[in-house]
Amino acid sequence: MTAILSLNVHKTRGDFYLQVALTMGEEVLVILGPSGAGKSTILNMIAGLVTPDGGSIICRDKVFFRQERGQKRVNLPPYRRGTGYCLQHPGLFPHLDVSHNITYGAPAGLDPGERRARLQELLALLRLQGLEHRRPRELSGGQQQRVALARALFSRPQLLLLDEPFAALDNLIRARLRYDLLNVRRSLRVPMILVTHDLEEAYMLGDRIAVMDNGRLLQIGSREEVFYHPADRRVARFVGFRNIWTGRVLAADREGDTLRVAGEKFQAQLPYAPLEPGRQVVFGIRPEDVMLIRPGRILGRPVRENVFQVEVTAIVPEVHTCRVFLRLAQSTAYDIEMLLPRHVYQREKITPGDRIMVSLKKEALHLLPG
Amino acid sequence: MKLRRASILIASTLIAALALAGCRQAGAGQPQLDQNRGQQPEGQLVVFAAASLTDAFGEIGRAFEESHPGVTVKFNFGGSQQLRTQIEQGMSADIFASADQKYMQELVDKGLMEQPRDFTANTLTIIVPKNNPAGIQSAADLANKGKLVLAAPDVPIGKYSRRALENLAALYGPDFPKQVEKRVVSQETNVRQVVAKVALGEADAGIVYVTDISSSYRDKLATIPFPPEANVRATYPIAVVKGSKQAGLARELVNLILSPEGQKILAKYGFLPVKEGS
Amino acid sequence: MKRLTFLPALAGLVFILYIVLPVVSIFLNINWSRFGTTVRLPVVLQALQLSGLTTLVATAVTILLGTPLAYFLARRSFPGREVLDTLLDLPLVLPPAVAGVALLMAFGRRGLMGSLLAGWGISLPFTTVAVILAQVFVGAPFFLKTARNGFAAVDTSLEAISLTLGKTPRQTFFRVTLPLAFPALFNGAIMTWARALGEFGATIMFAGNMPGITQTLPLAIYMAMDSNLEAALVMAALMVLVSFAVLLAVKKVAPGGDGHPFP
Repeated sequence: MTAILSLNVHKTRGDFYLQVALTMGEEVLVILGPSGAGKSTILNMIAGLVTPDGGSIICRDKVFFRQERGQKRVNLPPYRRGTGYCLQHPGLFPHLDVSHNITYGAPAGLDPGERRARLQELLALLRLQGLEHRRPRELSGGQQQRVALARALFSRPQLLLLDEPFAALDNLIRARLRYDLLNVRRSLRVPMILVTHDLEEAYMLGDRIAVMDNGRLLQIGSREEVFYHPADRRVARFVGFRNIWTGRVLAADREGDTLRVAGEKFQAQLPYAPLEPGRQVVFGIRPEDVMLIRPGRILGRPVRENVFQVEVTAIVPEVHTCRVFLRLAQSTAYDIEMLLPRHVYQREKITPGDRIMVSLKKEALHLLPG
Repeated sequence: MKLRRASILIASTLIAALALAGCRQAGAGQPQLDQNRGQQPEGQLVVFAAASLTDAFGEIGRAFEESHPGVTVKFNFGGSQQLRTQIEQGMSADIFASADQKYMQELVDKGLMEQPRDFTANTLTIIVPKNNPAGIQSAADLANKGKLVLAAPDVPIGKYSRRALENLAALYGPDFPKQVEKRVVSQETNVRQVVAKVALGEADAGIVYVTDISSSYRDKLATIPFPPEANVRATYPIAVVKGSKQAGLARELVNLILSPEGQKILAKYGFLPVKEGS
Repeated sequence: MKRLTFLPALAGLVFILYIVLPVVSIFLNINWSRFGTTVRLPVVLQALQLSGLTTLVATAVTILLGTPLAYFLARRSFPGREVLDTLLDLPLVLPPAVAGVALLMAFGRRGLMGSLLAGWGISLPFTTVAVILAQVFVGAPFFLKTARNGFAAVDTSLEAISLTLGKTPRQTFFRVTLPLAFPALFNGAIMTWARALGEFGATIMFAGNMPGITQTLPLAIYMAMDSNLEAALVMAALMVLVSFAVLLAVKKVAPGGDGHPFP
């Protein structure tokens, strides 16, 4: 993987301290985190709109910023960094029409033919044909965002920075735009950093995902790693692990690839890990990995472990799914959260108070460090 | 509804006020004199007087008020040409004292004045700032040194200044007035402005009435006398305005000005005596 | 109920009459058969020329020096900005006589700056430059105020985006900020020009009154009142016509203030 960007910066602003180091290649890197985590600040630092207190930002051998002991200080102004930048607010120039907005960043000596060709390519790619001469006020929110994207792409940026570009749009348009962005990625092969707090968006678009909170990078890795092997409890919570428990190791069996753990209310089998018995551990499972076992079904091996009888305490229907809250015997609150596809829920006709069987699939149970 | 009634009340009050003001200010013009119309008390005299009379008339006015309890004298000082225009346009005045015969005569010709009488005279002097930056030593220097301010040609002092310069032509050559005129940098609207510009040092010299240096600028100015044969003697006429509601009182004030007591005050400020009719 | 609408309407009518009547009276008192000759009087021509020249220069100077300052005031915050803002607004409320005295004390021959200039042989009072200085002093706040508000209304994120699109701050200013703030700047410039055209008090005190050099239209009108009422009326009428035309043109050209400068 050739490094497109390598960044190592810190900055203090009031009592907020940001320190982040990461590298990225030809990929889409999603920075995920709650608002106020410092995600946008990272983008602003890369674009040159915010100056770090120290560290370095290097993009394809070009030093954007460097302030380190023994090194000459470098701080390239934004207009010499060649990054494209899209914000949540499209920020189109109101005095220019669509095509002039898109070609705004054209370098001085650009050949007119090339200019036209690039414009046509982007208009087609982002479904903007026929709107060339509209003013921004005459466009819908989604159209405006696509123009902003085309504008950022026109000068063939080294790196495209996207700061929650879809957050202000309604669901349908947001879905279309994500698809547009995938198209852009496929045809223009431009590396991107996408900042978002939307899990679905992160999973759909991110080759790799970096989770940030409170000015720190908590984890960076492939989307599978981050979503299914969160580095710690905070990441786990953030990427949607609703079920997290603490327990003690009972035995580790390398041959049988099991780690037996005693939780506070139940015992569970996890994939093997080299841990001493008696060691305190945190483990969890995503609600969509909790399986409902239909009565009378013969259980296959992977499901046979970790089967519990539970009582349904509450059901919260969602658009495509249904969230079911389950209680083990002798509990007061709920212990397990389960996400059922809508059709399963409808078929099984579960109601609160029912006693059902569920399985915590062994492969889906994860040990969370710390 | 309450609000609406209140706004109607305000609106009608405004209209009434406007209408009243419209009646009273028919002549328009100087606001400080507006109060004089309509509510002029029995004992109030309004005197329009040339700016050069400011200090002397102020003292005479106080003397008149002392000898006539209950009477107040209000002055409107300005360039005689402005006062003439104001009286022509119908501003109310009881007495007009002009620095120039011409403007008085114009009003007499229009039948606006009673018989005018000359009451005092004035002569001119050159003034320079105390430190005299241009080094002007005599009237002859006006043609080749420094910046000069005169009053505009329509102002009496402006006219007299130019007449004096014409007279100097006999001494310094026929081109003298033209050469001096070339050094003029501003034509002020009245004599007090000429004094101020020189006293502040903005101009190097000016021509004013000898009486004008008795103002508060005295210690900032030095004077250079005109050659006596070239100086101009300005006689000031005074007259009661025809149709004055205070004609009797007005004539009494004119008599005070012409009396030895009034002449003494005028002399104190540098004015010269005149023989009636000269 | 009828009275409720009648009285406010009457009030409005009275007010309109109050504004219109004096303006119309100027035109009714002009002897139109002699208009041509009166307009060609040297005193009128000189005043017209001088007013045209000085107000244009004063407006240009205000725009050149005021635009960067207005931008700075709109974009930067620093301690004492409120005080500076207020200081710059001051000429708006100062009587012209105060402006005249102030200018004399600063640029007069014995003034703070004037005495320095005198050392180099430069003397400002009684010159056309003094007329322009007086006009800039009283007129500039109009431009500064409107231009500052115009710049402040331009979204800074647009400027940031322009930078990331490879445009230098300078290019960004001319291609984004200035076009977006232009209606405000234009309105401000017109107001400054109008104020400069009407400037009287500070001019007569600081620049004096000299036909062809410092006697602008308002001064010429004032002087002509005593000697040639006809000329005064003609000049007054010209000022009314020019002012009216300009104000009307501004309303048509730059809708400005209504929030949609780019229909």
